[in-house]
Amino acid sequence: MAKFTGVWATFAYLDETTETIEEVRQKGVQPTVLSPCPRHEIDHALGEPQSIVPWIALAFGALGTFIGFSLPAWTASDWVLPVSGKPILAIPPFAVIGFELTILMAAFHTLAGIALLAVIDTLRNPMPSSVKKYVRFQRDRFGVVVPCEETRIEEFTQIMKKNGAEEVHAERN
Amino acid sequence: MHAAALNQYDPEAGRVVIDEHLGHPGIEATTLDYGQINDDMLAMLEKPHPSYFLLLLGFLTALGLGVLSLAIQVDVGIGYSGISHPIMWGFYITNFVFWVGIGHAGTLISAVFYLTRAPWRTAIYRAAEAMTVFAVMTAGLFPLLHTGRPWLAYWLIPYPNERLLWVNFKSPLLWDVFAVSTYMTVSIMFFMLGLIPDMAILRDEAMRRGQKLKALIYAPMALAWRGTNHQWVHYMRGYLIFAALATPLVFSVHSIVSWDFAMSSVPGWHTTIFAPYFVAGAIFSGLAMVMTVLIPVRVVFGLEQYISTHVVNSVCKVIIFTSVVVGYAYATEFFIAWYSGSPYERAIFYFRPFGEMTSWTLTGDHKITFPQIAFWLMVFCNVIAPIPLWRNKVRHNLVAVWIICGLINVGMWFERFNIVGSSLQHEYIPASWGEYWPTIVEVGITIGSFGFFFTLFSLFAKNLPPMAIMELKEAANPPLKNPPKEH
Amino acid sequence: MKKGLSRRNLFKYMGVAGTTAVAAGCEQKPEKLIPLLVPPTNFEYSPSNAYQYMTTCRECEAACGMMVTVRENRAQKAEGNPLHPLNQGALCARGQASLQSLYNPDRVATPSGKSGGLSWEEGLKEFTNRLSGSEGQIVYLGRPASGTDQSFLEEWLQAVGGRKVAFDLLSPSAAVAANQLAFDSASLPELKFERAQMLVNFSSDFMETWGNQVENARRFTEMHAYAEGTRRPYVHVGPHLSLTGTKSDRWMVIKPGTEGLVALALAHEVRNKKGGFDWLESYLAAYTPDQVASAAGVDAEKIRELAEEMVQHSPSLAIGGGPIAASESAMETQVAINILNAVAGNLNETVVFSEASHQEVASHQEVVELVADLNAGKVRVLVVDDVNPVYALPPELGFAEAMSKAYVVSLASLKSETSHLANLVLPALTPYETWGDANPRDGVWSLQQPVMAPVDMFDARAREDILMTVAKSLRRTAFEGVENYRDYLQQAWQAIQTQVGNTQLFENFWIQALETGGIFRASGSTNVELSRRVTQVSPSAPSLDGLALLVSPSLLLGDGSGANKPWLQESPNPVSQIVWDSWVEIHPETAEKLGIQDRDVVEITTPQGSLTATAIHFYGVHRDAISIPIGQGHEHSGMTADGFGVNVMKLLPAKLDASGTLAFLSTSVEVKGTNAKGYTVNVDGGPRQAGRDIAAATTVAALTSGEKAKHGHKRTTETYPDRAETAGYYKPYRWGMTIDLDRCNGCSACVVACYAENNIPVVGKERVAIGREMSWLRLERYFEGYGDDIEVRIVPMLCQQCGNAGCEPVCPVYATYHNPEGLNAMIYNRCVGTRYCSNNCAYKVRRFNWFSYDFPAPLHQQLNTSMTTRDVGVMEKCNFCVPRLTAAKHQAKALGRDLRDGEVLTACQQTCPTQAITFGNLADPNSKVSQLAMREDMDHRERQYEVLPELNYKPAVTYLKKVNTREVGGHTDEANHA
Repeated sequence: MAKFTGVWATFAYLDETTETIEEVRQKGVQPTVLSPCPRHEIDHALGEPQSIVPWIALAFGALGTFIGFSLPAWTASDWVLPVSGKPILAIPPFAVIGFELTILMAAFHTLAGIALLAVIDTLRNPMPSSVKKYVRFQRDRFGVVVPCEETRIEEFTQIMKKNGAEEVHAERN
Repeated sequence: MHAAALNQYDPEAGRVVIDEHLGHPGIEATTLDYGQINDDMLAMLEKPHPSYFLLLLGFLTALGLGVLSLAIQVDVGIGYSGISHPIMWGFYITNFVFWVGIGHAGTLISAVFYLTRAPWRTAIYRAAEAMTVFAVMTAGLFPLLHTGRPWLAYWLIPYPNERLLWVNFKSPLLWDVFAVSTYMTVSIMFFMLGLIPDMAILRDEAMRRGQKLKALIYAPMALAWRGTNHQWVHYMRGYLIFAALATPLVFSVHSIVSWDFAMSSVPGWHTTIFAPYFVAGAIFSGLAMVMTVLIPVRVVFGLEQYISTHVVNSVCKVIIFTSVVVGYAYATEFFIAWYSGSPYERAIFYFRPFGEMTSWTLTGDHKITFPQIAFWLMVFCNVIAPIPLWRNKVRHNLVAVWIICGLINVGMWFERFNIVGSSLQHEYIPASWGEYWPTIVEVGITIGSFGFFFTLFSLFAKNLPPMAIMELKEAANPPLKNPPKEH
Repeated sequence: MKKGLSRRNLFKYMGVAGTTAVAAGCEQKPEKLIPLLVPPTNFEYSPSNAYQYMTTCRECEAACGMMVTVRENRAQKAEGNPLHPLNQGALCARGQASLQSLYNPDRVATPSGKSGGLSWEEGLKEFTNRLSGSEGQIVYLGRPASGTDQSFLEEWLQAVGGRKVAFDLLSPSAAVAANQLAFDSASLPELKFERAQMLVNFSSDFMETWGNQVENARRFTEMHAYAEGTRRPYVHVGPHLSLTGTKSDRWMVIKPGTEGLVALALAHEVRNKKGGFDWLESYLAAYTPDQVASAAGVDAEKIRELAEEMVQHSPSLAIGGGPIAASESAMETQVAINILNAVAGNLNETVVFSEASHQEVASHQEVVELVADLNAGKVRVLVVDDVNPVYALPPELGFAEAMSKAYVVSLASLKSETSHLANLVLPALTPYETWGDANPRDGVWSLQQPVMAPVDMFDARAREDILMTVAKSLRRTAFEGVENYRDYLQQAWQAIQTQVGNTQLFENFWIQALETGGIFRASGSTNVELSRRVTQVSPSAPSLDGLALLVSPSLLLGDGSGANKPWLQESPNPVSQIVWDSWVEIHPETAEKLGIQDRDVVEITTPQGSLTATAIHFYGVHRDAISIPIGQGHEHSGMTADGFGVNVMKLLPAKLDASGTLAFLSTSVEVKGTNAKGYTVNVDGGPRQAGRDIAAATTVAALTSGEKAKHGHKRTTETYPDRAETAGYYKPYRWGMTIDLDRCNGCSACVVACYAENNIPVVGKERVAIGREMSWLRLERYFEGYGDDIEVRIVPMLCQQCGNAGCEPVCPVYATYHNPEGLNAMIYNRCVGTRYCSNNCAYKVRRFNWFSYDFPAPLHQQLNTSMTTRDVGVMEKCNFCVPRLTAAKHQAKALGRDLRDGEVLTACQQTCPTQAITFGNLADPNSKVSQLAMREDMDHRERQYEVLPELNYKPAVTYLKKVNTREVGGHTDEANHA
């Protein structure tokens, strides 16, 4: 993990967490929040950040549709083998393939997209390794991580404390 | 994840309000705090009771039987089974359709009910989803092993072979290849996606308890999950997309499976209602299987707070609905057979319940064969047996529900056979009418398929969280310093 | 059961051995053989080259001309010799299956004595020693000799000092005796069906085993087939409907054994109407319809009607005979029929005698005497040549015991019950490997030549050569100047050459004869007239209380000699649809009285013995009788014969009629039902067609009424969906077929031909039982009507090569597709075996290889090398003999032209005695098949139909409706109000 300078704190309560987040943001810093489960309160406090995953799904879904129609069409005309007097390029049967491939491609790249974007954002917003050592975020604790210059550490520590943080850690390195 | 549905943050009031309109998940556990939920769930993964191994042994035996039967058949030839001219499809395709159907409940619960915001799904969707994966895995075996030359089954995959001879995309069987494989891939991905946060939970709990090795095992499946807001935002949106993709998929898959039959010209197969009829049947059998499996789980692990009567109740309601749909489909088939005026349709639909028409025999002798047994079992189990569920009291009686669901499983299996097997026995050419009785191999492989399914499920139940811990927390009331006052 | 298992395995386990041994098969070079027309320059290995050799079929006494196709120096297909006057290119099922006596795994491999195997030297020495010093006490028991064989045997018997006894279970001796009595001609007449305006058949199975079934079928069809708005009727008079009877327009049910009475009653009526033969008046006065009616159990009015009909249709033809009618007054019955023919004015019109018969006729009387002699110890050496009396004769005759009193030498190519008991067995070559000839009819000399080197697995010799060697070693003077039987034959043929007035060099004459298969001249004829002696004899109805036992000869197994040929066992009997078994036909009403369900095992008891078999309900048998087919129940005839069915002869008493012919109809039986269900395997799914016009029929009245709309439809000219990609389709060929159900008589020759041509494996009883038979062409049998009004329809069902096939679109891997010539091409190697194509085939003509089937050596040597064999897990079906098409197209291409109509015959079409099948190019409006399928004029358009047209599969096979002269009542039509 990259060098990190700033403050991070743990909270037992959701409302305390959200209040902290809002105050921190008023100070012009975008904190990283850890929570055992997603809460819309947190999203709201963070200002409703949006994901671009749907666009990835859409793009690759379209690609799937294209392959789903073009592959059968090409193979059928590449070597013409008439069956039962049916058209060589028959749209209805190909639609089935098209549909399935749409779903497959979209779903697969959605998963890929989630993974990729999550990683990118995590790298963009570094955290101190001490956070990872704290094992209760997955269980029942909320965490707020505030990256800042050394000069402002004290200020944020105060905000945390005020809002009832259980632990407050300042990181200088 | 349907937090939005349950309790929404009201900026004005500056607090969370319960949405009466959407109602409460009906899961008592949502009143517990996060830590408690965590501990309850992890308790399920503790060292199992010896009886568990006994059970597992039973399932493994069944599986072994199946593998043995399969080995014999592949060695001697497909002829070792009872399928024959003119009944070219028998138990194997029946099992295929049956298992694919079982799979559908999982996706329905995890995806469809997610989109439709049915809160009670939270407690059971993980298990149901696991069943989907395992059921489809089981189903996928049959199209392969029923072929005359299983070792060449890969020819059904469109790949550029040395002669650049491709596959016939006009064949319903090829649609199957795409539909089933897509369905399998997507449901596995969906399953894994749901698991990520829970894996992280297990990892950290292991760390917390100093179980380094466990942590090491769980870590990779957690994909370095930390639960930061950056991860959550993509995760939540991605999950929604997945649900949105899986929903049409689940309906398409069984429609396509039904087209394996509907696209043919076989009387009794060549029917337009097959797609909806099959999908309804799939959900019907799937939910029944979910109940058959989860009611024991509830009792064994003492999960009354999680798999609450409300959950069972809700599932039963869906079962009733699909039961009615299926029953209606049966009736429609007979009506259309009569209304179409086609002698062949009429013949087969006379044959199914009553056997061969006496005036078609030389001197009027009459005999009952397998199809008739299958037909009446099907009608009893799928249409008559579920009727008691209309009563609230019955729906709250776990034993009753469990028995009825068991019957439904039987009935649905015979429905599949009734469609696959009996139609082929009485086609257009009377001189080529035939009879079908399965051989020991087919029975063995069928038993084996159940063994395969339940082995996988019992392994799942003790090694992965059978319920979505993260979602339970989400459904639960969040920890608030100053909780909102009801007014 | 252990037996059964081993047999099953035999059929099951893999043809790997097959292919390897095929290679081994091409080692031996045969002696120089003379093929048709162009002698091949060499015999180099070349699977594509097929050579046709003309020879003679010796399966039964009819001696049809045979054309054997030889590839890689191995006989691979037996067909009729197109140049032969008797069968004219057609060959019956048994004739074709005779290939399997050549390649039969149960052939006698080496000489053997009671003590065990011998070398040929030892064997011949033993034979000679036994013969020497027992002059006058030697009996040669063999088949009725024909052609040069007769003189050869006489010469041999003279040399060794013995006499000959001819044996033929189904011998026409009664008829011959009757002809002697009635016409002073101890021979069988030539029956000119085609000249007859009407046929009255008294119980003879003339399209099965009676006479030359192929010729009979052809000439009968010529008479009977619907043409120009009329059909000449065939009335079947008898207690039993065999396949022949099912072809009749009307069935007059009479009590067993009363054929003679009815014939005379008819004669009485006919004579009254036509006059003449006054001297018969008093004789016939005793046989007025009313007197006969009660005895025959038939309405007198019916007899009068029939008589009237005969008078209307003159000349008619009355025939009769065969085991069904062979009561103790069989000869008298024949006389009665002769009288009927005479008074009806058929003599020398439709019943034509030639100066002399060249066919020896066996008499059972001689066999009875032989038994006596044996018992009296008057016979020291008995030479049994290629006959099986131990199996065929009723045990009461005591042949087996008597035989044990003499030293028995058996010249046998195949194992048999008789050779099993013989003291010395010398393996004889089959007619495919030896020289011979036959003279079945005046003016017809049919030559038999070896078409290939003897099968290398068996150390056998030609029977004549064996006899000759022995004779030579006994008498120096015997057969002087001849090395082997071939020389002897050539000498005899020099005589024939002079007889036919051929003046060219003998070599040329000989080669010519070999090329054409013999010398064929028009048969001479001589007028005969009815002798007054006929009044001395009078037929009488057998006094049988209870159920009479009708012994029906078997279409496929003949007198039982066919039982060891897999093809014949696996081909279903067209009427009962039963394979690998014998059965008891019982009238449903009788069965009900006795409480016998269909397929019950029943116990049949006569004073002579008892046996158990499966009873099947069948309207085609008289209420006071049961019928059991001959041919099964072997004990020592090889793996495909032993243990199947029962031998009905065991029930018969040793009674003879006046002519010394075995009286098959001479005992009544006691039938006792058991609760057990019989394991009898039949291939038909349903006995009735449930109101579906699969085997459609119309009536003469309807056809001539002129109301076209109701019947048939004209096939539209063949086109394939006109698309750029399929522009080349159906140009120039769209192969199609028509099958005329009015000509088809269900003789099953096509079925066997298909097995032979396409390397179709025989799978055995247990597999057929669960529907795994592999036949590409099957005869579907449907019953119409009930009781005596029963109608049997038979429709050959094969791949219809649909234009919009159901099988094609469902195959995921293009293993079947529509090829430019309109065939549903089946690519075995691409098949994965999903079997969806078969499910979606409305005609159910696709067969699946459930296992890899084996062709036990040396049967694999028969495999058609121009056709592949199939392995486990692939689908197969009829392909209109595509190898033949390809070969012919290549030849045409070499000549720079397209195929002409009729240049390709499919195997089934080629062998069809009645030419019911026509194959050709539907894209060519002038081809015969197009004309039959599309022509405008009355008599065909009215009859065209396709099976299941409503499915719009566009089948390439057009059927022509069967034509009835009556409306059959009780058609089932429940399908429409199910």
